[in-house]
Order: sequence, then structure tokens, then C-alpha cells
Amino acid sequence: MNAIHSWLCEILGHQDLTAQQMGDILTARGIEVEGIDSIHARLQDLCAAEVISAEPAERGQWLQIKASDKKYSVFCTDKTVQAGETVLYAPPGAQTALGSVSVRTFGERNSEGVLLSEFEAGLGGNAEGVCRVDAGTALQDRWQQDWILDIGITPNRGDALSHLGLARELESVDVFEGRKPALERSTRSGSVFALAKLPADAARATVQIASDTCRTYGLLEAEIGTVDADALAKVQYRIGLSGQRAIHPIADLTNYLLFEIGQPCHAFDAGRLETIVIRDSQTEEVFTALDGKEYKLVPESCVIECNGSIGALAGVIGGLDSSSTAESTCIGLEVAWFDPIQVRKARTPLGLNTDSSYRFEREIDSDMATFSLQRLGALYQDVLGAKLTGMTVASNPAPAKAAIPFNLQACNSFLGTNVSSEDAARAFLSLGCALDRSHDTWQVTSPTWRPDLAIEPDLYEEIARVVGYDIIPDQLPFLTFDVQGRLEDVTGIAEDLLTESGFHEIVSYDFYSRKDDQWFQAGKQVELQNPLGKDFAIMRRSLLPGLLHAASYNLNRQAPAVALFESGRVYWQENGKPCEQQQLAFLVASQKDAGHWNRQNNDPDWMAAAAVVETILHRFRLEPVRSKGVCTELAGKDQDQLCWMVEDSIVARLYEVPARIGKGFQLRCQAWYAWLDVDAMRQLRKDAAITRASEPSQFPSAERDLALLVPASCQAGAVLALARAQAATMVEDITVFDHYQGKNLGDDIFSLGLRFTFRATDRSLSSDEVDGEIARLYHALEKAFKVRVREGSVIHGETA
Amino acid sequence: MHGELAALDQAARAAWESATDSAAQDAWRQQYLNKKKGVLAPFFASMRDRAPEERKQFGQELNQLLQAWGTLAGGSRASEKIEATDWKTDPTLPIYPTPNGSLHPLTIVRRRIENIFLDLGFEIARGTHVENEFFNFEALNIPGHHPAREMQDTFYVDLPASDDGRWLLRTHTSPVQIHYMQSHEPPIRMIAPGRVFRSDHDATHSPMFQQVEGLWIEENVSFAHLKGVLRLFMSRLFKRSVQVRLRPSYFPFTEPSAEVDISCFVCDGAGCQTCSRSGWIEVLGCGMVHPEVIKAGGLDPDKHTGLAFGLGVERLAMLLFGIRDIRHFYRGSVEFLEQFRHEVER
Repeated sequence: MNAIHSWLCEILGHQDLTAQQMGDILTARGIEVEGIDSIHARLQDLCAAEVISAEPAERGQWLQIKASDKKYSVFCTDKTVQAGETVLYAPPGAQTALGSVSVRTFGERNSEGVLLSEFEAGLGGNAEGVCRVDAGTALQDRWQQDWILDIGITPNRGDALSHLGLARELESVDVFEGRKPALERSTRSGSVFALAKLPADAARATVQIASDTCRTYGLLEAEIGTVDADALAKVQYRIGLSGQRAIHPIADLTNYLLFEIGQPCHAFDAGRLETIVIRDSQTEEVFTALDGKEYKLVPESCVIECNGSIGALAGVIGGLDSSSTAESTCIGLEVAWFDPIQVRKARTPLGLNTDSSYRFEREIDSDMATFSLQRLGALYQDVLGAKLTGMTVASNPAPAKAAIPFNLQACNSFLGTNVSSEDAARAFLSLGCALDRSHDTWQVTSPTWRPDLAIEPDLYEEIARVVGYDIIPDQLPFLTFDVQGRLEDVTGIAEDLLTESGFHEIVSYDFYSRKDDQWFQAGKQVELQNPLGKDFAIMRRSLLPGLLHAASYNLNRQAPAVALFESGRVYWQENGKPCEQQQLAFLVASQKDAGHWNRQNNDPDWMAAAAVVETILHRFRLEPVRSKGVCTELAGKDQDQLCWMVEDSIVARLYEVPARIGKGFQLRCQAWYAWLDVDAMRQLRKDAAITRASEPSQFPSAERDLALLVPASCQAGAVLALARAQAATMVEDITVFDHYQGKNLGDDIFSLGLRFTFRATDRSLSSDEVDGEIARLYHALEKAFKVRVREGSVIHGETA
Repeated sequence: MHGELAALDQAARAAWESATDSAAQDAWRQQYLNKKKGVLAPFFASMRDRAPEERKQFGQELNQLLQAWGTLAGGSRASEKIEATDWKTDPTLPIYPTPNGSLHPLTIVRRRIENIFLDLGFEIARGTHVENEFFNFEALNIPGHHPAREMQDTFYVDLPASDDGRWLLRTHTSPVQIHYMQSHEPPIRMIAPGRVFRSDHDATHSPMFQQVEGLWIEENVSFAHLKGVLRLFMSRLFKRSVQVRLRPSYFPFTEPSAEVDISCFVCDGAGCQTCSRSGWIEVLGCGMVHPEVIKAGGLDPDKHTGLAFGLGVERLAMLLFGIRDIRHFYRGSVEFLEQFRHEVER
């Protein structure tokens, strides 16, 4: 909300505080001042311009104006502006409350700047037509300097949504620091606000409360007299700077009351008003509001029934037919207290959010109906020469307000402070609380304008706020630690391995478009009910689209190749419930040679990508089995994928991105995509036990190569795995040095070259020992897989 | 030596003598050193037809001849190339590209935060991104139809409501507090890093961003501890001593609540562009855990007090690295990302 410095000074009764000082105090009290603007700063780019000529045009007129000895041509929608008048003008480049002014074209002509209304210039509430100024009077003299504080109010401080509330907060500093005995001027004292003597007669219209959600309802009837133009100008100036344009004097004063003391108010046309019933709405009642729109009300919304039909939606907006107009001569002014939750429930489905509902929802002072009517009466008397003719205040019983217990010792322990009882008592006093100190545990009764104070920790916060958060010491804790320490995080280690291998990490959104989702079939997707747009409609089922978008972004900017990864969640639903999985995925793609002078064609291939996967898996002591399968996550044509399995769980997958999908992301080169199931890896990882070192052998190693002919029905990995499983301890390593399948061998057989490395820790191995082990292993493989030795290989002295 | 090979050797040596310029020498190399297209090609091709005993000896002779001719010509082209490009000749030539991968700046900052709190004895907890209304709101003292719900514009998920209300994307990491309290006994010290979602998108707001939640529940934890922990954290994060200022604020799940400012780490509080000339930078929100939240976590608020804080990783990363537009984080531009390859945080 906007607060006006001069208005606050008027309520405080002094001008001792600058706008900046007020801002500092309020911010330190938790009412954050987000900016301070001044009237003269708003005038800085504006000037007075004399209208030289006016030429009628469609929807307005073209004016020739003169400002600072220069002539400009300006289009103006206000047809009342005449030659000879002096108007408020913003030239091109000026910064105004509407934004930066530029040259705009209307028809075929350029309009050089704009003529502004007072409201558009941020100088008052009058939005009717262009603002006229006196020729020869400096703008700075026409508008005296004042400051506007832009204040952010948290939802618990509805009391601060008015100048009265802010003044109370400012004044409480003086009370706490002993400069004033108690909150006086800024509360309901007649010495601060002019208050009217309310009429003794009841209002002509009858008032009946038939809803539990209305605690108090007051109606003040008045006959409108002669307008005091100067007083009205002051009202419009203040509501304008508060952000509300002037409508007509009767409505302007209701808005003035709202900004001044925080009491929402509505003005009925009382000429036709006979009965008022505050009741809950029936099923699907329809109501035409002041904005001219028809609303179908939510059942049990509180409504104000006037003469048998709905005259207002309680706490939200008035009705079109029952509300006062500029021509009304007899009005009924409503002030009330409506239940915050009820107001919110009623207005939310209708998409309505008004200044009144905003305050009711944050709970207004429950004991200000009479005060508000007194203040309203005075305003209408002073500004509109009104005669107050009748008043009725009806109310439901208010719930008893319980005192809150307060233990100072507990408070100091909670805050880590040493606040004295005198300071604590003065703090409560400064906030308008009533205090009973007759026992160790005090009883604190909060003022009616602070319904947010309900439990003891609320009072601790008030003590901290008033004495100042700055006096709270910072105390370092004595902490105990888990001696075992933490298990290294799977994702973090894998991320490090990837970056060390040259990958860049990306972060993409967890939601994507339906178009991105079309390529996937695994699981049923989870959709958002209220997405920001079609690009954010569905929770992603794969990390692939995010990586492809990023790859495409970089490749389209002439990057020769990309290696990217992301760690994130994917989503699907099962039986109507959401499911999530943490994945680590990477993508490699290359569209051209990077152009190194000594090396060409460094394209990534599946084996390089697979090596990255296995580096990660091995880091967690996982020994996966590799196999080929069909990629089940992709929709459409079958796509082969490479899988890594540990204990019957697939922990990683790798596949080439199908061209049809690549094209969907403007990717026109080969790309490989892999993802690892981080959740499964966390489950399967072996405990990081401390390694027990063994003494390296002092003896030389021996090597033997064995070329085998293996039936095509066998897989190389199975042969290798069996050889490793059967090998004696002297076999240090077994690797594949050759794999061949071709026309010389036939379709049903392939050649596999195994290289064995032998070494013992206690002796040099003899040829007989080594050859004997080779023979033993060969026979084991022969028995298991029906392999044969390829021509030329030697088995323990025999040449095959 | 095989007769044919001996004749060839003679011819080759004579031809080398007469090849005086580099073009002629190149032609000679093609003719005599190329195993596949040169004069020796038929001999190599004939190997497979020779008897095993002969094959071994003939192969050795061929290789010896090739080696001798290579020596005659001052090395083959391949060996010439190695010599010409050896590091001893020109050590400044680029070597093969070194891996220049990078962690995302958000990961770097998140890890830095995690490591500071791990050193303070906090554990890392994680929660689901799809939550329900109870854990995201009610358990955190944000009842239905409370204006505080407007502080966080919520994405709702199109799934049948559960017993705990509608499904939604968590708007903050605070639901992890409740889950963690329900499954752990005090003393509780945990941080919960993770992605959160709000319906807001412009140059300074992203519909998805990262938060780190902190929770410490124990007997006699005080507001002064909160201030001490945060000052220590901020000084270690920015790697210099910083002043911490707490301002009263409002969060439904803490009481008292505070916004935390730190003295500007660029100008030391003198006022600069980074701190909008105020000398202070707003960095996070915090407070003492509201008794209703402790109750919702299954603990006794009369026995245990707690402090909690939540910070935005994007905001800290923007401050730390001087990043002006939040959208850079989500584009995946390698040009942007590789700037952070020297930032190491494990």
C-alpha cells in the first residue's frame, strides 16, 4: 500500500520524522518500506504547456502546444481542452507513473508526448480529463513537496493497512522510549480526527443481522449538502496518492476512510432503502455488482439484502442498483465487521479482489464501528455539508477475548535475551496492550486491532520487535556430531565424474510441453491443472527433452559437439497417485569435427558413452551385467538399448536418440543418451568399507593369448565371466583383445581372443603352471559353451 | 636375402641417390615405403600363399628391407611427422583438448551450502516434489482460506485428491520439516535442499527454483542461536566476515519470523550497485518454529523449541557470481556454463 508522509504527520501531530526516518522505523518493525517516492520527483520530467490550437479528430483532438519555447503536436482524447489553456504535459522520454513516454502514431501523425490527468501523473485522484495548471505558476508551487512510502504489509498485519495503523506503529516507538505516556494521538482521540456527534434517532431503514459471519453492522444515514471544493480536493489528492482514482465525492469519502483508519465502507442510495438484512446466500443466487458484471454467488456467501434483493456482496463489492451515485442526495453509509474466511470464500471463486475484501480478509479491528461512523459523519459534514439523520448499529455477540499468559523468563530464554520486566511492560503498553502483572506469569490482553496476537510466542515476537532484533545477541551453538560421518552422495560423485570427463551440467524445468511428451510411453503422465502455458503443461517423464533442447541450443550456435548431463526427477502416476524417480542422465552429440590440428573425427560413439556409464557404476563398487533390450520408455518404433543390470534391477540404459526425435528438437546429428537410476544405485551400492591393501607381487607376470571359436548363440560377456569365475588366483587379469565375426567363420560362430595375465605373489610361475591353467580354463569353457580353439592357438604344448 | 628383394634393394638405393629435391623424395617414399601401393605390395600380398616355414623368414626379410629403406630416407613420413611436431620442436602447439566440464552454478552454490551445514552437524534430507495440501500448507500453519496462501502461487496437479487434500507441486521445501520430524527424534538438525515450484515467470522469477530448508529442533534452542548459526553460515559462504541483520517479518510457520540481510560483501556496507546503495543485501527468511508446526511434526512444543530457515539458491548464486538474469540458469548454454569450470565444490 502507499502511505503519504504528510497524512502520517497529521495523525501523529508532529513533523519530527522525515519520510526516510519513518521508513527506517517501520522496516525495523517488520513493516517493510520498499521504496520512497516524492511529489517533486514525479514532477521532474513534466512541464506546463500552453495550448495554441485544437483540431478535432476521431476519438479526440490534435493539439498544438508550446512548452519551454518549443512547439509540439499532441493527440488528446479529452475533447474539452481548448486553445489558451495551460495543461500538464509529459514530453517524449519523460518517466511518469504510466511508464516511459514515447512518440506514438495516431492515424498518420505522430503524437509527441502526452497530456496527463492528475491521477495519471501520480499527483492526485482526479482522473477526469487533462490536468489544467495555472500559467505562470511553477509546478513545484502548484504541488507542494510530499513523500509516498511504498509499503509491503505481511498477511498478519491487517491493522497496518491504513495511515492510522502505521501512525500507531510509529508512535509506539515514542511510548516505548518514554517520550510519551501511552498511545493517544493516533488512536481514537477526537484530538486527532474530527469526529461527528452521531444522531440519536435510529436509521430509517431497518437493519437485521441474520448471518453468523457478520459481527457488527452500522448504518449512518445522511442528506448531502453543499460540497466544499477545497476539502474535496484534499480528499481526492490523498486517495489518488494512495492509488485510488476519484469516482464521485460520496464514494471518494468512503475510500478516504478506508485509507485513513482501515475501515471498509459502502454508501447505499438511501432514498429507496427500506430494509437491510445481512444473510447467507441461497444456492446460485445471481448478483449484479457495481462493475456492471453479473456474478453467480457461491452458496452461503454473506450478502446484504436491500429491500428484498441483494444490494451488496458483504465485504467485497456493492450492487449496481443499490449503491449511491453522484446524483444521490440521501445516502446510507455502511460499516461492518465480516468474517475473514467467509469473505475470502465468497470472493475467490468470483475472481474478485477489492480494497475492502483485502482488508476484511486480514481481519479489521472488531471494535471500531462506532468510531468509524463518527469519523464518517465528520467527513461527510465537512466535505459534503451533510446532515446526519439517523443511525443504527446492530451486532452479534462477540467472542470473549482471552488474555494471553506471558512469562518473561521463558521469553528471554526463547529469544536468548535479557529484557528487563520494565522494558517488557513498556513494550506491551506501547502496542496498546492491557497488562496484568499481579502474578509471575503476566496476563496480556491485545488491543482489538491486533487479532494476530493469540499465543505466547506471538508476544515474544512483539517484545523482540519493540526492543529491536538488533539487541538479540548471536550465539554460536555447541554441537555434537555423528562420529560415523556421512555416506558419500551417489549423485554428487557421479556429477563429479561427469564434469571431469568433460560434461557440462544443465538444469531444465521439471515440466515440459505436450509436444515434448509425445515421444514417451512409460507410465501415465502427470498433468498440471493450472500450468503457466502450454510449454509447462506436463511433468516430465524423461530428462531427454531438456537435454535435447540444451543440445540443440548450443549446436545451433555453432558448437561442434556437446556433452551435457542433468540430475533431476521424472514423474508418472500409478493408481491415481504421483510417483517420482531421481535420475542422472547425459547426452553426447557431435555435428562436426572440432578441428584439432593433429586429430580428426573425435565423434562420440556408443562405446565411449558406455564407458562413462560403467565408470560411474564401478565407482560405487557395482558390477553390472550388460545386455541388449528394447527401449520401453520411447513410444513408436522399437528402439534397441543397452542395459546394465545389478541384482535383477536395471540401473542404467543407453540408446541412440532416434532421428525422428532428434528432428523434433532441431537436432540433425547422431546423439547418444544414457540415464542412471539414482534411487536404485543408492539401494544397491556396496558399503564403502575401508580398503585393505595387499602387498604387490615382486615376481614377473606371464601372458597367454587364447583365440576361441564361440557359437553365435553365446555372448562374449558370458564366456569372459565364466573364465574369470573359474580362474585360479594366479590369473591376474583376463581381457578381450579380439572379436571377429565374418564370412570366413560363417554366421553361427564368432572368434574371441582372450588375453590372460598370470602372476603369483610368492614365486615366478613356470610355463607348465601357466599352460596348465590355460588348458584347464579352456576345457571349462569348452564344456560350458562348446567353444573351440581357433587355428594357431596353443593349448599346453598342443597346437590346435 | 631373397633374390628378387636384393634386386629391388639395389634399384631403390640408386633411385634415392638420384632423388635430389623434396618432390622426388616424396615420390620415392610413395614407391618404396608404401606397403599397400608401393613396390613391396605384391610381396606382402604373397605371404598368405607361402608355406609356413618360408612365410616366417620371408616376412622378416621384407620388414628388414622396409626398415633399411626408411632409415635411408631419413625416416618414414610418419616418423618425420613425429619429429616435426614433437614438443621439443614446438612446445606451444595445442595438445589434445583437456576435459573442461563444469558443474552448474546452482549445484556449486547448493553444495557449498550443504557442506557448511554438514560441518555443523546437520544432515541432508529430501522430500517429494509432488506434495499434498496438508504437508505443504495445513501442517505448516497455513489453513485453507488464509491470505498467506497468496504468498505462494501454487501449481496443482491433475490427480484425484488424497485424504490429505489436493496434490500440488511443493511451493517450498518446508514440508520436509514435517516429514522429518515425524520420522526422527530430537535433537534434529537437518537441511533439505531441492526444487520448488511457484506460478510466476519473469526476469527475476522462475516457475521452478531451488531452496535449502534448515531445521534445528532441540531443548532450549533460541533466537540467538538462529542468529549465530546464520552469521557463521553467511561468513563461510561468502568467505569473509559479514554482518547479519534480522528484520521482523511474517511466515505462518515461524514465530517470531525474520528476513535476514547481510552487510554487502562487495562494498562492506558502504553502498554500491549490488546492494542498491543500502549497504545491506536481503538473503533469506527464518524464524523460530511455530508451536503448531512442532505439533504437526508429532513433537511437544512445550519441551522442544526449534529454529528454521529457508533460502533461495538462485538468489545466492546470482549474488555470488554477479548473474543478472535468472533465465541463464535454465537455458543450458555451454558458453554460460563453462565459466564455472574452475569453481570446485565437492
